[in-house]
Amino acid sequence: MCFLFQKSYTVLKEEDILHRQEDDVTRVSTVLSITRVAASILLRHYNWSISKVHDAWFADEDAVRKSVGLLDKQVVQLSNARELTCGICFDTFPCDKIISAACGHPFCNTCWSGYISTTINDGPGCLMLRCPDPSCQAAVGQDMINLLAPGGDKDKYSRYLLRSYIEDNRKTKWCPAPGCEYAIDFAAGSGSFDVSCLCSHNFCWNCVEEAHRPVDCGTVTKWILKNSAESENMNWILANSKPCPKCKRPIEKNQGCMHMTCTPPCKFEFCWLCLGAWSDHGERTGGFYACNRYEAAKQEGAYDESERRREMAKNSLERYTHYYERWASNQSSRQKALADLHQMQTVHLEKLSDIHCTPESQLKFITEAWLQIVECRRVLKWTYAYGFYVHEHEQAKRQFFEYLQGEAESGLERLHQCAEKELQQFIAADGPSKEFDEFRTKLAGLTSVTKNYFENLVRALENGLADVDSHGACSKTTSSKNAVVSKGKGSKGKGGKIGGSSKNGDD
Amino acid sequence: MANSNLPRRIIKETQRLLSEPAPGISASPSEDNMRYFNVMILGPTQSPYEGLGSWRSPSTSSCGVVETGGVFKLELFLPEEYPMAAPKVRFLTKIYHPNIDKLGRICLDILKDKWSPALQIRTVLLSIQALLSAPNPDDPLSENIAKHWKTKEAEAVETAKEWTRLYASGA
Amino acid sequence: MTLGSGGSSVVVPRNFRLLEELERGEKGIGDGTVSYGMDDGDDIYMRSWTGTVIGPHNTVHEGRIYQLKLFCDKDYPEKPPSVRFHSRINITCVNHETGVVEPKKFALLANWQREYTMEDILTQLKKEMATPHNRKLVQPPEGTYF
Repeated sequence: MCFLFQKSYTVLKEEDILHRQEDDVTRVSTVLSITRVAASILLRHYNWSISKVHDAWFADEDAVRKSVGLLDKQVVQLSNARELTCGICFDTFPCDKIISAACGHPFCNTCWSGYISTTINDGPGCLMLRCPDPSCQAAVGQDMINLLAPGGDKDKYSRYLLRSYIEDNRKTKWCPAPGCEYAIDFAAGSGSFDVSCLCSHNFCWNCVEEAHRPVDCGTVTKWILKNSAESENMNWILANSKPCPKCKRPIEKNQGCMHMTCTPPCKFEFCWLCLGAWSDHGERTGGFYACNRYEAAKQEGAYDESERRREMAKNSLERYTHYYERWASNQSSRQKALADLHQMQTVHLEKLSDIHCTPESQLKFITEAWLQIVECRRVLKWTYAYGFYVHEHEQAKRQFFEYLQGEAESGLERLHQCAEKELQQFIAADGPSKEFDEFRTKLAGLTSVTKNYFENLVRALENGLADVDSHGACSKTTSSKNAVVSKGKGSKGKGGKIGGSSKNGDD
Repeated sequence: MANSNLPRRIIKETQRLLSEPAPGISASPSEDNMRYFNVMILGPTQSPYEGLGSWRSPSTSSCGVVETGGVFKLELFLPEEYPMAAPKVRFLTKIYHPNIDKLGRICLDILKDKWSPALQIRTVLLSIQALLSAPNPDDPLSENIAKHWKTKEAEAVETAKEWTRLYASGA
Repeated sequence: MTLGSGGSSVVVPRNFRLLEELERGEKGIGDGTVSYGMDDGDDIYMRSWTGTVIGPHNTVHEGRIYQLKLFCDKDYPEKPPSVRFHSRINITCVNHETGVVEPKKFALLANWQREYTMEDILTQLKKEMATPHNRKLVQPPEGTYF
């Protein structure tokens, strides 16, 4: 468990990929004493696995040469004629104008060029190009491509070769974010599949959906399928506005946290999720800042049997709606938080630094708070998919899960509110103030507590809430709350402390 | 008029097709379009497509019409990209074969992804002739015929013979 | 080999041209408001075709489905196919008695070129329905035929 957060992957830029590809080709070429072109053809054929190339080659070199098309001698006897006939256009050419692959089948420059160009424009199959003679297996490698293909086609071929290196290799994948050109090299056997690309997209290595800890890939697939099946029913939820529960004017949610305030003169404060008055949000909803409970109260009431059955059908949709709405809300909250983070980094930090005579390096706690919010929104979002599927019949686990989720939610709301609303006064301030230092302590403290709590939550859920009886997870959070002191946060501190507390949880 | 700029390759192939025809195959370009060929293929012996009167093996090397049947008419066209792209070929004579559809279109790998510019009209037509000897119901173009072939081969072969007699009588 | 030596010199013969059109029609064209297919799948000469045009927006034809018959004779595509509406329609280039699209009143047929296709004919007829002199004409009841 201690290695859980050790980075098990490398992000590769284009030059890194080319570099690695070159290195692999060099290794195979050196070990097998074959040309680099031949080594490249071999590697492509064996999905860029050096060990597979070596195994196959040393087991039966002749068979490998035959199937890959690396002939070690010509099949066509060279005649002494000074002219040869091209096998495609049937024209005769002086010998020096005729080109052949290793097999010796003669074709002219123009026909080679047409042949190669046609194949390249047919797609990545051009990487397995063979001699045009239909009975001949001789491979045509990149040296001939570079010699004979028209300029644009050479580039296309190189792209295909680069793509093949990532796509055919079991250890590498492209980052799935639209427009991102980085690839990920992933070391097998590590604990977590979460990958964070340099383009800032976080995704799951295994299923290539966005990062979804603590939920497993199977649940994510089910959930995404469910969402698309239900999407028609869900359309109304996706609408971005809701009427103010008091004055009925449409309210558009443009901020990250769930605490809404209607525009003046109404100013009614309510919860975006349940549309109840914010003042009602306290113990009953799982904490002042939270709204996590699915109201099953209707079902518990004094309904007769037929009434109940009718309600059940409606409730199954309502139940899904409940989870979906919260999943989607956290998703859009996360998007908003990302935008806010960006705004903070590009505009506000500089301003704050001026107003409060503090170097920007001392304002890192704000960036860290926002990064934490973004991450927590992601986790919280997926706990709703988790909640939809897990523990339907395990009352104790279910209650415990909802308790943990409620705590997580209220902790996050507190942090989000602090970073979003309380910060405003300092951006609008005229000069430095003592309150800013207090604010720093508060925000950094909240960030740390929330971070801790969510890391424990993720681990507890991945663990299937195995320690549900011991209540270890919640007592642990309380203790970590006490232990938190905001420090200079040079390191991300993802090491021993967390591992240690996880160990407690396992006890 | 349309035949200026005809590539040397096509001219040479045409000349050789006319001067050294492959056994059981004739192909001659149409007068007004040198890329468009009229083709005749004799059904191979011991296939359901052979001429019914030809067990005594009359000289199939002559391109003359065998009166008793087993003569299949095809058309062939060399597209602009030829020989980088495959020729287009189809049967004009109705034929009961799992890899040939009602419009005479042929499912044959060298006419699609296995095409190579070093192949020729001659090799294509020989491959089609070979396809008549060896139908491949696992890669069908006509689902019904292929199913018939796989479930009741003897009966399917009889139908193919019947169609040969009805439609491929060298009219 | 002479690459790119004047593409216009290559003439696609009738049958292969019709096979190309058949394949294009099977794949489906554009937004689907124009479509066509072979009438008789057994006819090796591919002469009879059925076309469908969905009436264009903001005209009296909007949402109506018009069926047409196209006949490609042996001299297609040197000569245009004969085209007639099966569904009743009232537009200026269509004979009111027979449904025949009259070449004299339909420029695409009058000035036919071998590059034109059945798709071009159907698309042009759809445009014809939206011209000022056709878009508001009173139409026969839907679902009646010539």
